Amino acid sequence: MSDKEEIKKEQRFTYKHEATCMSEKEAKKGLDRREFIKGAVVGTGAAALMSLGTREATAQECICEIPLKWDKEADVVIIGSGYAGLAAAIEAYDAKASAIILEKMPVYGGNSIIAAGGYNCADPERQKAQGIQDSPDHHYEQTMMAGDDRADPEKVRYFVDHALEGWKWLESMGVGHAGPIFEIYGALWPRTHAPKYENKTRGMALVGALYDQVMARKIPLLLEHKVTGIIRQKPLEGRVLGIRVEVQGKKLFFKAKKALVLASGGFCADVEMRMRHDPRYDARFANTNHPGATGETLNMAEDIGADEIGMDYIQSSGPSGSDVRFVTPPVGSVAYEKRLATLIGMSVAHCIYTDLRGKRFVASDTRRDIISEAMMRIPEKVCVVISNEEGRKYALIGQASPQLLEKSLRERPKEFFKADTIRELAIKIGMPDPRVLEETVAKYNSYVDAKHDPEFGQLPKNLIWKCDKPPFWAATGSASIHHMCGGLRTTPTTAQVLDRWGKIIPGLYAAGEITGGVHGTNRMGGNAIADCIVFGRVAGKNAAAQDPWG
Amino acid sequence: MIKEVIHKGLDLFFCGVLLVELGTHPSWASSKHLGDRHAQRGINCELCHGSLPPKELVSMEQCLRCHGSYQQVAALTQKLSPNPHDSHYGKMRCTLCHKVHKDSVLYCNTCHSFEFKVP
Repeated sequence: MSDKEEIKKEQRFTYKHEATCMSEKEAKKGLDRREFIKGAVVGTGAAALMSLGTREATAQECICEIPLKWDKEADVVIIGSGYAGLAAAIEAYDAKASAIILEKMPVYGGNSIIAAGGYNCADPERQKAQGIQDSPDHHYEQTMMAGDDRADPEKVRYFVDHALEGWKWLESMGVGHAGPIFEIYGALWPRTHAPKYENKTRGMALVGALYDQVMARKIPLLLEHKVTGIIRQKPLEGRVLGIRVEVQGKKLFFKAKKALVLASGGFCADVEMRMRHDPRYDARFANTNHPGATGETLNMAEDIGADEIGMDYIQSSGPSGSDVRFVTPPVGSVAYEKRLATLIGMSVAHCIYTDLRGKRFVASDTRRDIISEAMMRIPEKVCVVISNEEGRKYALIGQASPQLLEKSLRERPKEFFKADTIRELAIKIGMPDPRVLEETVAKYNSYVDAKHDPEFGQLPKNLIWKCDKPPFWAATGSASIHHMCGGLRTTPTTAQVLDRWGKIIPGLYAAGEITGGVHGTNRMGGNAIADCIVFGRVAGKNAAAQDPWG
Repeated sequence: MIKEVIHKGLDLFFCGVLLVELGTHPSWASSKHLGDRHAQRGINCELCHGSLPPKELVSMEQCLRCHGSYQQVAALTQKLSPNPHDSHYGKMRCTLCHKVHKDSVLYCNTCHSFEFKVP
C-alpha cells in the first residue's frame, strides 16, 4: 500500500473511531478514563485503544485526531517567526515549496527581535584585518570545550562549517556591520558580528532583513495562530501530517504536505517548566525572553515521541536580571523586569564583577555558566558590575548608551550608580567597607599592567582597560534566565527530529532554541543566532525536498 | 422613471439615517472607551466591523482607512519616548492596545514598564 493510501485509510479509521471517542463535551462532563476506553473498545475495537496512545487521555483532543478536511495547507508549515522560522521559510520557498509561518503571539520575531544580535562565525578575512586569528576549527574546539564536550560533535562540526555561509546569506539580504568584530559576553573569542540593517541594529536588524525577504516572497506569516498539537499518522508511528491550531477560540487544521518545521524557541519565560529541569530558577529570577517563550511545542513534540537532550542545561545571562533583593515573589510570568540599560552589554574586557562587599568573584571574560554558577553561590545572589565612562564606550552598540544609563540611574536608583571616586561608588552601592572595592579595583588595574590575572585567570587579551578614570558606573543584577541549551534531538546535518529510539520522525524538522545538540552544557555567547540561521536554513531546504503526501 | 430614482435615493437616504440611528448600541455614544469619539463622528458598528450585527473583528487596515498610514499614526506620537508606534515590533495591530470596547492596554508593558496613557 502506498503512503497516500495508508494515510487515507488512517483518516477514515480515525474518524470512525472519533464518533465513539470522547468528545470535548463529554470530557467536560467528567467521563472517566475507564468508561472512555470501554466505549472505544465497544465502538471500534482494540485498534482504537492503540490510537489513544499510552498517555493518560486528557480527552480534550485525541493525539491522533486526523481531520477529514484540512482548513489550510502548505508544503512546509513552520511554527515560530524568529530567526530559524523565517530562515526556514525563505529557504523552503526558494526550493520551490509553498510555506506558511504560524506565530502564536500578536507580534512576530519572538526572542530574536529583542536579542542582542551577536552572530558568531569564523570570518578569517574580516578578522585578519583586525589582527584576530580564527578558523572554523578553532570555533569548533571552543564550542565543544565551552559545552564540556556534551554537544553533538557532528552537529557542531556542521554548524561551524556553515556559520560564515549563513552570515554571507544575511549579507546578501542587505545586512551590514554595526561595528567591528567583537567578543560578546561569553563568546570566548572575538568572532561576534554585530548586524545592521537599514536603520536597525541588534536582533531587530536580522529579523528586519529576514522579515522583508519573507514579505517579498509573499509567504503568509499568520499571527495569533497558536499551535495546540502535532498530528502524526499514529501517535508514535508514521509521518507527521499537520497541526492543530487555535485561532480566536476556533480550532483549525493545517496540513503540512511535505513537512512541519518546529522553530518555536525555548521555555525560559515559563517558571514551572524551567523549574522542572533546574529547580533553583524560581520566580524571583528574571528572564531575558519574550513572554511567549513558554515551550509548549516541546511537549507536543514529546507527545508524538520526539526525544530531548540536555534539558537541564539552562543558561542564565550573568548579572543581567533584576536584583533579586528587590523582587517580591511570586511574580510568576511577570518576572520580565528587563534592564534596559544593563551594563551586561559591556565588553567583557571593560568591566569588573564584584559581590555586594566589593570583592571580585569571577573573571568577566569566562564562560557564562561559570559566571552564573559563581553568582548563585553568593549568599544574596547579586553581582555588582563596575565600569567607567571609558569602558561604557566599548559596550555592545546601543546597549549602554549614555541616555539609557542616565535613564536607568533615575528610574532604578537602587540598582544603578554613578560616582566620581570608587570610594563614593562603594558607599552609594551600600558596601559595608568601601576600602574593599578600592582594593579590588586597584588590584585589577595592577593585573592589567602585568597582563596577568593570578586570581581568576582573566585572559591577557582581555586585560586592556584600567578602571581608573571617573566617572565610574556600577549596576547590580542577578541571574536572568536566558537560553535553553538542550532541546529536541535532531539529526546533525539534516535537522530532522529523532524519536526516543533514535529513529527519524518522518516529516518533522526542528531548528533554533527548541533543538539541542549544539551547545552542550553551556552555550557560547553569539552561537545561538548562528545556530538558528544555519539549521533554520537546513530545515527549510530539507523540508522542501521531502516527498509530499496526499 | 424620475420618480423611481427619487424614491430610490430617498430610500437609500433613510436607510443611512436608520443605520446611523439604530446601527449602534445605545451605550456606544456614551462609552467611556473609544465609543464616544467614534460616535461623535457618526461611526457605527458596520463601518468598522463590516456587518450588522458585527461578526468580524476589526482589522488594522480598517482602522487605518480613517486614521491614515501607520507612519502617520507614528508621527502623532513622535514626542513620546519611546514612540509606541515606532517600536522594535514594527506595525502592531491597533486593537492589541486600543481595545475600543474595553479598557485599553499598553502591550509594551508585557515586558517594559512605560507610563503612557493609551486612549
